[in-house]
Amino acid sequence: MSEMDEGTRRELIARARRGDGVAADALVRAYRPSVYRYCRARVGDHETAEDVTQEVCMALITGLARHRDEEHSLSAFVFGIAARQVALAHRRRYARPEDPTEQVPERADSTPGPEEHAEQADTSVYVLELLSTLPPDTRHLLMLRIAAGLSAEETGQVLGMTAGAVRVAQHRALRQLRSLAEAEVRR
Amino acid sequence: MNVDALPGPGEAAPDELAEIAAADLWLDTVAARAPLPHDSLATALAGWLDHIDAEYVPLPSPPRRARSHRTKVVALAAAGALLVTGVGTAAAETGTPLNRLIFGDPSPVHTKPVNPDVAAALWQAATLTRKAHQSIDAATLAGGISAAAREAVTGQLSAAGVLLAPLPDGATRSALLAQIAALRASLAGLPALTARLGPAAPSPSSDTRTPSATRPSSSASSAASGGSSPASSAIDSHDEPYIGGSSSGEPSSGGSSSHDSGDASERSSGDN
Repeated sequence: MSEMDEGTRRELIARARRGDGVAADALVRAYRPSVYRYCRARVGDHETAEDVTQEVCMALITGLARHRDEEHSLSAFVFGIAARQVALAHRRRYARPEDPTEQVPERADSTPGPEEHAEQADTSVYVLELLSTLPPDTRHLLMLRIAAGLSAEETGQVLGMTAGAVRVAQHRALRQLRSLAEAEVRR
Repeated sequence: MNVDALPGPGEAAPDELAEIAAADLWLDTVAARAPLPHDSLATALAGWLDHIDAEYVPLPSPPRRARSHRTKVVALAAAGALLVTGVGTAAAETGTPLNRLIFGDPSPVHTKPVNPDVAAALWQAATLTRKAHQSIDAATLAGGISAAAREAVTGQLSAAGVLLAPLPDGATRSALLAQIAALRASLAGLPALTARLGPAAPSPSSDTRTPSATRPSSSASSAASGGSSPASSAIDSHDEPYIGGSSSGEPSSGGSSSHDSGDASERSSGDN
């Protein structure tokens, strides 16, 4: 969600609050790809990610009135909603234990472009294995930074941390991931 | 979120700040999908994001009547993004200390005009500097450093310097250069161990009597004889500067050839 500057966002928010459907549509379209990426990274399968993304977009439109510019950026507001919706999705899954959980590595999907997709799926499994070595909170932090594309400040707003604490935590997590990746290369 | 499980700013050592800033820039680069081709972790993360994006199903186009208005919104957004990038670049020239960059309160507007070459070089230089620091700390505890180990650490510090030399001025770069200078001074002040054992030897007195202490040449000297750049060779030898000859196999962007961009800045949000 880096294509739109804060001023444009604010204007769209104001118009959407006044019931401007075009502005609401523009906001949803701007955030939807990164919301899907974040949800897909956290829930592990496409269908659930699509459902959760849809719920986040609906909650964004209905919850815009609650957003206060001076407290959080809109990105932090959106991904705060997304984090809660993902948590709800996980809870629903735990209620149905036959479904995969976040911890289960995703399976290779054979739909588009077989070879390239299989390669990407291997990479995804590898990345998820690396990320699974991190504590859940730290993994969530990295997913907000990498998959959602939030800044350290925005990530801090979502997680209730200072930006400095985010930077320290992400640095140590990356150091751990890199040493694991290097050990893998040496093997 | 259990915030207590994560480290607070107070837990960051002063020497860690440059590395923290480099990691932040590296993450921005990865998230912005700028290529870091010689970085295996960045490549894996980019592949993971590509895989996710390949599954994304965009919304259908809006009704025709709305399209012309939407085009105006998109054009407005593009103009706004250009403006913000310009403001960010200007802000980067004002200069702020490194700790303000990491723990301060930068502008709420988030922009990511990242330069992948700069991000990669800073990350590699920070990693080399940390490893040199660890080696010097270990040697200090051991009461001295062998010639081979000194050569390896010198190689790491030189390689970090080579990586930083062509980069534009910035808080992270300055902090790393200062750290390298301090480490060079510490290294120079370390007494030499007479035997060719690493500083992890039990005591300096026992070193002189160890016949099996002959070790392969250090990784830094092997780097000098090899075809790779000092930076990549030193990174390859990162974990075992006292043993030498080890190689992680991880490629590195190495050298300075890819860091010549004169207009690159470390980041827009307060660094420099």
